[in-house]
Formats: sequence, structure tokens, C-alpha cells
Amino acid sequence: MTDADAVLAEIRRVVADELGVRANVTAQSDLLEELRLDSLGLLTLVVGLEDRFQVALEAGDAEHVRTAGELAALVARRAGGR
Amino acid sequence: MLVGPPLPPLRHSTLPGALAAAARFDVGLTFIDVREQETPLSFVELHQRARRMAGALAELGVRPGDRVALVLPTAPSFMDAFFGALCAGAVPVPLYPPVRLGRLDEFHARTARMLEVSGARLVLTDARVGRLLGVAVARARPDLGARTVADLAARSPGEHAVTVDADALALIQFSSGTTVDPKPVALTHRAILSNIEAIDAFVRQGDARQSGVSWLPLYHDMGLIGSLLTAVCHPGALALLPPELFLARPALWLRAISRRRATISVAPNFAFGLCLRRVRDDELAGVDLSCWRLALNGAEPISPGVLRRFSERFAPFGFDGRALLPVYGLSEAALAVAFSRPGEALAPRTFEGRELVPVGRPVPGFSVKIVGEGGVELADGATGRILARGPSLMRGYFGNDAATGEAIRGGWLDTGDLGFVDAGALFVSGRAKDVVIVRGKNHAPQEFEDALAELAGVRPGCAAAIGCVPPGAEGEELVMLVERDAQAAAPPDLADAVAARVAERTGVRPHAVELVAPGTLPRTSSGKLRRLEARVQYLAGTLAPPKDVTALGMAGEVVKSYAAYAKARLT
Repeated sequence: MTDADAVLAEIRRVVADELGVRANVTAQSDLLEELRLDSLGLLTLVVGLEDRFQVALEAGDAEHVRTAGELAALVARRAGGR
Repeated sequence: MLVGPPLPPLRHSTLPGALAAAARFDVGLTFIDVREQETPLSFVELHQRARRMAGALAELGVRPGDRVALVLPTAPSFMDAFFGALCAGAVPVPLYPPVRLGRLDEFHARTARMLEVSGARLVLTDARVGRLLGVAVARARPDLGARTVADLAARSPGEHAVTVDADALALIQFSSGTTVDPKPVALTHRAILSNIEAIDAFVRQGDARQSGVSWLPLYHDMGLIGSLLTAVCHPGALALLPPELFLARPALWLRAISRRRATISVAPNFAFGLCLRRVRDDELAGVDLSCWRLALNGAEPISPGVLRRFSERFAPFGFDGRALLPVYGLSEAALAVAFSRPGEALAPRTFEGRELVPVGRPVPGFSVKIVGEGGVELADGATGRILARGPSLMRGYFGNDAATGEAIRGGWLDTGDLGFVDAGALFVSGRAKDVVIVRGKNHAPQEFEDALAELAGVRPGCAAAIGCVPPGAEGEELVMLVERDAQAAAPPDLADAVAARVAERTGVRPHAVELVAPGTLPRTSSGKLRRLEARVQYLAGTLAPPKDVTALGMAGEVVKSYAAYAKARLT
């Protein structure tokens, strides 16, 4: 089972280690406005999460994702967790 | 005028002929995934699968000359569809697959338009992408609909191949031009094979077989013609990584080059910069890049600083900086126009205060000249528009004679780039077109400007998107020059709002947002934005409002309108 907290922890890791963004990532952090990710940053995050949790995210999934918490919930749902 | 060496005779007359010849060699493609697992696809197998796919396409009703759109990731299914369409005598039209977490409405609109302007009769896709294609297919209505490659492969009646003419259309690839809408570049078999022969003449060293690695998208000239078709026509091993994998984990590119002992790998400037920024030493344990003889760098302005730092950074891993080869080309010429020579990349010259590397001399069969106002050819050293002539120019923009006539005059293609010739080498110094190049991708400025529609505090239609290389940056960045709306109460964080809006709508975050007074951006007499002039003024620090709209003038306008209002109230 993958829970959203584990995904959020991985989001924190990718944002800090791979993207070098110094920010306190919470579930409420807006990916674009607070973390200031661009398409390259988002892609890095998504590929990292897909690989780590063995899920596939689609185009169009973004329509419901604005914050780190929403992305974590989406990945957890796809992974069959809660 | 610079004249390249003569073009050697072509070894193949058509792309299916080249694939059939490649099938006699014991090499092929290898697909690399996120876990670095490799899936081979030999040219023998690729040839058989393509012929089976051609059988299925013919049975479906695809006829020679029909355009078949491909919306597929970097995977074996792309090869089945691409070479299957060619064996059926059809014209493949590779399109962008959707990006993960991308905006679907833009994908639908862009795909529908590309299907329409290429007159595609059929769309080939896979199950995953196919689910997202419904809207575009319903809009463009290709008469044979959309099919998955797996579905067609399963119902093939058998192998099939038609004889095609060397001067028949072989490919439509989309250019990114000056407008929001990319144009369909139509190329014949002969044009593509001429360019591949020209590239090969430049990169070949004796009879040694090349081994390549490419993460470049297959829906663009550099990945499709420069990497894939070049490996087919001069059979050599080619390992392919999906572009999104490289962008997310750039170390996978360098690791693949080392593991596969690759001799050639091509990328735009930003890719070298991305490696500098993101690849960590612990990801390179055991990596040896000494095999990498040809590190071609093209498709966007080349930063000498990035090349220098790349060569220093990866020297401990065996990389030889002389392998860095700046190149120049564009989709309207199939791909390559000029190539530099080993070592030149590390000896830049200073031009108007900035360093430029030469992109070299014309490839075999090509000539290049610099022209000024009225098309007059300029002497060495003078900057003007770069024109190119050669055997691989497009037949035209598909179905758009007007645009073709503007691009090619008297056999010369206007590249839209500015440059000069010095000591026999071509330098690209800027561009005549309003294009912003971010991470190797051309963007029409309108893409960014239109993102600001109805944003409070911005004067409608009064924003200019420009590209420039900020000090210390690895490549071109987006800068937004935005006129404040004097009438509306601007939010205090307007620049942040502009940056967030552009990032959200386009995926590109502006490097800087410059807020300026109304009337500041230079325009033509007909009111069109003069972005190149705005860029010059911005860089020179002279971007300023015209005298008649100074703060005092604006105040005067306000007083007058109040006076008119007061008068209206009194009467």
C-alpha cells in the first residue's frame, strides 16, 4: 500500500535533491506558484514518482492537481493505496 | 558565399529501399527505459514488421501518397508505424504525444490543427495515447479514423511494400516558425537521403561503423532524420531514450553513451547545460565517455561557456572537448546546413561584446550566403540574413503555396536567422524572426503573450515575449516585457502574477518580467509589436515610454476626461 504521506516525502526529496528548490514543501504547497516549478521541474517530479511508485500519470491529470498534496493523493490512488 | 563540397552519390533512392538494405546488417535499435533495461529491435525485424504493417495499412485503404499521422512515444510502435507507412508508399506525419500533466485543451487544439493542415487520412497511436486523442480526431475527422499500432499489427494480412519514386513525398515534419502555428514541411525521399548523405560525409571516419545514442524527440528533424534515419541509411547501432526520461534524469543519457560505447550523440545546447546542473558524480560511477567522438550541438543558440564547462566537468570521465561540434540547420532544409570542425567549439570569437562559436561550413551540396536589405549579398564580416541552397530543401509547406513562396525565392531558403561569414566559417548571431528558443524548443512569442489575456493590471495585447541569454545562464531564457494598465488598479505583485500565469499556461517560467509604462513597447506604424527592437532596447537599458505618454501626459489625459465628464454632468 502506498499512502499519500510516503508520496509527499518523495516529492520533498525530488524537489530538494534533484531540482535544488529550497522550500518547505507541505501538502498545501502550490507546485507552480510556491515551488515555482516549470514544465521541466514537473516532468522530473512525475517521472521520479512514476518510477518510485510504479504508476503511470496521464496528460489531463493536471486539471485536478495544483498542490503537492493533490499530486501525492493522485499517485497514491493510482498505486492502489489510500 | 560559402560553398560546401560536392554531394557524394546517394546510396539509396528511397527510405524503404534504405531500410531493406539495413536489414542485411546485424545491427539495429535498442530502447532504454527508466530502469536502464534494454529492448533490442534489429533492422531485420524492423523491416519485417514494417512490411506487415504496410499490409495492414493497405487493407485498411491507405494508398500511396496518403498522409498518416503518428502520435506515439519513443517505442517500437513508433518504428512499426513510421516504416510501415513508408513501405505502404504513404507519408508519415509524426506529431507530439501529450506530455504528462500537460494541458489537454492545448494538446487537442494543436493536434487537430496539425491533422487538418497535413490532410491526414489516418492517425496511428497506442492504447494509452489513443484515449486522449478523441477530441482532436473528432475535430479533424481523418476519414480512416484513429487506430492503434497493436490492433493493426494483429490483423495484418501479410507483408506488403509498394515501389515508391525518389521524388515522391516521404515525410511531413512540423517547423516552429514565427507564428503560433507550426508549418508542415514537406520533404521528398531524395531530399532526406541527400541530407543524410551530407551528414554522413561529414561525420564518417573511414569505414568504422557509428554507434549512436539519442534521447531526441522522434517528431523533430534532429531526432528523426539526424539520429534515426541516419542510423538506418548507414547502418549502425542506435540506442533510444524517451525525451522525457532524459529531461527528468539527464545522467541516463551519459550513462547510455558510456555503456553502449557510443561514438555519436546529438543534442541542443540546453542539454549540455542541463547535465552541468543536474548530473551528480555518484550517478557517473564507472562512466567512461572517451568513446564519444561526435557530440553535435545544434537547434538553438550555442553558448561557448556551456561548452567549456561541459568539457571541463566531464573530462575526468574521459570526455574529450574536441568532440563538441556546433552545427546549424533547420527543418525546411530537412536538417543540416552547416557543420563545424573538431576543436573549433572551444575557440570562440568575440562579436559585439559576446562570444560566438562558428557553426562551420556548408555540408556537401549546400551553399550559404548572407544578404542585406533588398536581398543584396553582403561581404565577409557583415551581418545579414542567412540564406541556404541545397539538395535537401523542402518541396514546400504542405498545402501552403503563399508561405512557401515567402520562404524560398529563386532556390534560396530564407532561414530567418541573422549571421555573418568570417574566415570561411558561418556564425549565427541572432534572428530576423521573433522566436523565443527555450530548451531547444522554438516558441512563437504569441504563445507567451496570449497567456496574459485578461490578467488584471496588464494592458490587453501589450506584452512582448523575447528571448535572451542572461549573464551566467546556460542558454536563452524567456523575458516578458509587459505594459501596466494605467486604468486598472494593478496588484502590487503584478510581476509575480505574470510569471505564474505564463508558467501555468505554457510550462515555461519567465526568467524576468519587466513592467513598463503604457506605450513603451515599440510598434510599427500599423501598430504591430516590434519585438526585435524591444529586445534591443531592453538589453541596452533604453526601453522607455515615448514622450507624449509621460506621467504628466497621462495625468493630462485623466484631467481632460474628468473635464469631459464634468461637462457632461452639467449639460
